Amino acid sequence: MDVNEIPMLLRRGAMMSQNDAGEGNSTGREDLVHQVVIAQFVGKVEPGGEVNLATVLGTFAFSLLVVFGTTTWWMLH
Amino acid sequence: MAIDDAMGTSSGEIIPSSSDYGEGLLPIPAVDRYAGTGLMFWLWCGGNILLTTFVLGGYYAAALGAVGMIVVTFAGGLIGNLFPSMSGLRSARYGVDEYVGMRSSFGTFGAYVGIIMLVVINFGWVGILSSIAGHSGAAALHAYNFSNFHWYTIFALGCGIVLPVGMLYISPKTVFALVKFTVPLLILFALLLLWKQLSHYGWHEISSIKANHSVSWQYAIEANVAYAVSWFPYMGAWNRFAKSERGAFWGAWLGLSFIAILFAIVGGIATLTTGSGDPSVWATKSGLGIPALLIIILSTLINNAMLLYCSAMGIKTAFPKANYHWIVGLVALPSIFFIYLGTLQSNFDTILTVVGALIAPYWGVALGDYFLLRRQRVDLVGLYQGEGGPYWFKRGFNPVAFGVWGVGIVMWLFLGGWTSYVSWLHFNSGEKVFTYLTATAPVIIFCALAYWALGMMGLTTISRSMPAATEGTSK
Repeated sequence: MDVNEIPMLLRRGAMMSQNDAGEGNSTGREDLVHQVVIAQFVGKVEPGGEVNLATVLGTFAFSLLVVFGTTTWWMLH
Repeated sequence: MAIDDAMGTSSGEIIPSSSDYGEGLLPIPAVDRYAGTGLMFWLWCGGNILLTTFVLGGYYAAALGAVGMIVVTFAGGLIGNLFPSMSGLRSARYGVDEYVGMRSSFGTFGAYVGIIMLVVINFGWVGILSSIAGHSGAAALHAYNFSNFHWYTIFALGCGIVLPVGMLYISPKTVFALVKFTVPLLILFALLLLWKQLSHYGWHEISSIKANHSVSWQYAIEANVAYAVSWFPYMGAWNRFAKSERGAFWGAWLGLSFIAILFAIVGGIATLTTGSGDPSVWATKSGLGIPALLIIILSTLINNAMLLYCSAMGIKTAFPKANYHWIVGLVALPSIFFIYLGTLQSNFDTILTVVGALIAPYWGVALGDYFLLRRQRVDLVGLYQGEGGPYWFKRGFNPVAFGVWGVGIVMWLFLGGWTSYVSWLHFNSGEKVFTYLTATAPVIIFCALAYWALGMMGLTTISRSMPAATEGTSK
């Protein structure tokens, strides 16, 4: 979801609020409110310093190297 | 729209200076993250400073000898701790709790299965760690000629329940404050224990103790990996405080691995030299009863606070409007049974084995979903949506994820069931394959790859959630 969608969601929420007042059903409106609240965080949460899969796999490969290297060394001694 | 108006949340829960910080479910924005790389390192070091980490090395030291024990500890520690360090990255990126993020893998309600596993395991873990603190505290005071009193209850309930709950009641930030000062001290104590052993017996004598081969090196690797992945359920709750993804990853991997390796080696060597796997025995023999007691007390405080916070946030994920302070108080109460009922404690090994078989494949699916299928992109708004949202799947559950999880459980029981005390889980053929593969690591990798492969095949259940994931990256 894009932050630009918030005004549209707010309008929808206001319309649903008016409908709910008559029908006594607020579930849909609550869900929409949640969306609007969380939408305010989109684009603000990612902290940077990304760790991609390559970094993780590199670390895994390094660990495997340690495993096989040390095991080989151990068996040879 | 004011945040305070909706979802039973308060804007204070994402403001670092607020007393409510970290007590709610809202995603923590990048600018409001609390912990740098160093602090994350100390936090995860503190998480692994446990009596059971000492005991882990002693578990296979006699079987492999000193050199073999060190090699296997390095290998198992580095590889095993990599998996939970990876799984915590979703929360580090999006600032959400583990089980809010888990909705993208298992569905809105499917994530609750993880919460149930977490909370049930924690009842046992918190109780057992409290019990160990109680026994060790009472034994130490007895050794120093203190009169008989309710020391067991005081140490077990005080260090294990009352103080950790009190810390969390004030703020989860208190855990960060505690680890900053105590963890370096506890590491120094562990190094002192190691130095005492080495200087007293000498490396030559220690390394010349013959291995008795009572268990294989594969079994020892498996023990290390299984021990490490028991951190899976806890990573996200704490990693969402990390200021950067790198800080979360390296802090967790290096912190957990460093302590796992150091403490297991200390425990392994002490077991070889004293012939006992009980840390209180060899710590007393080394004249280090007080440092050992401090390790036990402080580590129980840190660990129980860390575990209980994860339980509290898990429950809050399922019941967003529940009061954080009430949850923190109530979630610790069932653990009191484990403090006083020995039968529950003795059965916990079996419980852990069964739950271990459930945890490894569950988070294996989550790793495949986040890293391979979604390429580390989820729809932040979708994580908080119910029916109609991208992660609703089928009635709130992702059937593909649950299918792969089920296969993973069967695979783990086939490969590793023989390591449990449950006789009907012993498969001879599985035991033979275990000697080539072990159990936990291959099950995690299998589940990740199998889920990815099914997702790539374009199964509609998963593919419907994918466009929203891409959309979530737009700013």
